[in-house]
Amino acid sequence: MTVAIINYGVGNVGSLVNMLERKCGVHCEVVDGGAALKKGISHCILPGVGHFGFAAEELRTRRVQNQLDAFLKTGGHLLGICLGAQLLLEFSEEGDACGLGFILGQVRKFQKGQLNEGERVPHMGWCEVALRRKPAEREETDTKRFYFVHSYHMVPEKQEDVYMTADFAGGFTAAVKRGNVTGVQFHPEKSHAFGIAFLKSWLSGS
Amino acid sequence: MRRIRVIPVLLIADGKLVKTEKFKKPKYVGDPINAIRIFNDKGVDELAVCDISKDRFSRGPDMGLLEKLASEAFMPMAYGGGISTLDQGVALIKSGFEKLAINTGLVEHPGLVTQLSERLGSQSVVASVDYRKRLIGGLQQFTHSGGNRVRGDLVTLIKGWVDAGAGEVWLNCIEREATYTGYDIEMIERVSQALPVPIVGIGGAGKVEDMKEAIDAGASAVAAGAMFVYQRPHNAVLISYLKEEIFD
Repeated sequence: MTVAIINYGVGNVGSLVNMLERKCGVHCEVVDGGAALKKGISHCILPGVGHFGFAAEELRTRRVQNQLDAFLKTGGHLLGICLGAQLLLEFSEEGDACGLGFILGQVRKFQKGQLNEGERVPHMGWCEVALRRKPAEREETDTKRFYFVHSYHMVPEKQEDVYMTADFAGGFTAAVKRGNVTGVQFHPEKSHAFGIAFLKSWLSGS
Repeated sequence: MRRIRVIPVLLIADGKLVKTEKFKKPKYVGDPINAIRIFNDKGVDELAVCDISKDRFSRGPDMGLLEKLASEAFMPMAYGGGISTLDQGVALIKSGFEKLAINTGLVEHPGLVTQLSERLGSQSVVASVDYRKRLIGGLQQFTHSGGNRVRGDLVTLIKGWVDAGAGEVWLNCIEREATYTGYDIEMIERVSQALPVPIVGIGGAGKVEDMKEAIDAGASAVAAGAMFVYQRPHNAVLISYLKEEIFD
């Protein structure tokens, strides 16, 4: 199985490729933003670390929207990681820029008033997540924790698009999911055993 | 309940893993890639890699080695050592480091912290502050591995680095390094009260209780070197990690 990783000049792919290839048993192909994905590729990752406004501009210049639209039309599975997840939404306060709009909603900065005692922004560190799905669909009940580094968080318009939540600043959306589009605010590639388990489960989706 | 990050600090000199004491006497302790593999297996929260090679300022970050280290690491990684330009910072993040620790660059390259945080986000930029307690003059910040003194009041200086865009502060007490005498609790308390960003205590950890004490004083995370690369009482080289998790 081959997983495509979109390269648009933002963020790291080294550890992601290593985790996928060494621990999840798949082959990775780093594809330039805008280039058509090969036929037969069913899973594609949009990584990203950094400033939303800058990244959104890169996506526009490289025509990544067209590339991903075409991929999703084939029924492919898209996973956004960290900034890559935020870019799946429509708009971000970071740079007042527009994202890809696959998930309705915005990306907002954590406000001081939201923070509990001892909590600081950027939110950095390991955090346990809770799955937000109908009890009947809940296949795993184990506690999972992932590594987060962010100052902005996803605010999906539709409650049904919230996939995971985490306990920080009174609770925020840690992952979104709508159809074949998934976005995780955390870094699976930096969350060792938990990250490997998450990626394996995403890869098994068909 | 807040889970506390516990960060092993690995020092590198000329491509080798070393450990110093009070910023002096670098001692060879092994191969950095091997150390990272061990820390992977132990599931550490985060790792910090600092290059203390003498030529780090002239040659810049050793990207060949660092790319290898970052791609081996399935945990968050921070890097410090000889970062002086925005391009170097971008290359490091691209290679898989989450955070850039700026120490000498705070003073030598004014504007660097702001440039880095505007481009990469403030969560990626750490003000790595080394300091000593002097009999005359009190607390003083140092750059160049403790070689050059920075003029000014320490807490005011740190506020300046945060205002410039640093999203985290490492408070590294030089005279406590590898002494197992506990963190500088007073300083952690002062700085964490004065600043809104996460504060990480470094220098002096010998046991879990030291770490808990630093957290109680306001640190958001704790880092340690000797405790994780040495086995006491004779400082035999042994890479280890905590067996328990620390909660606030």
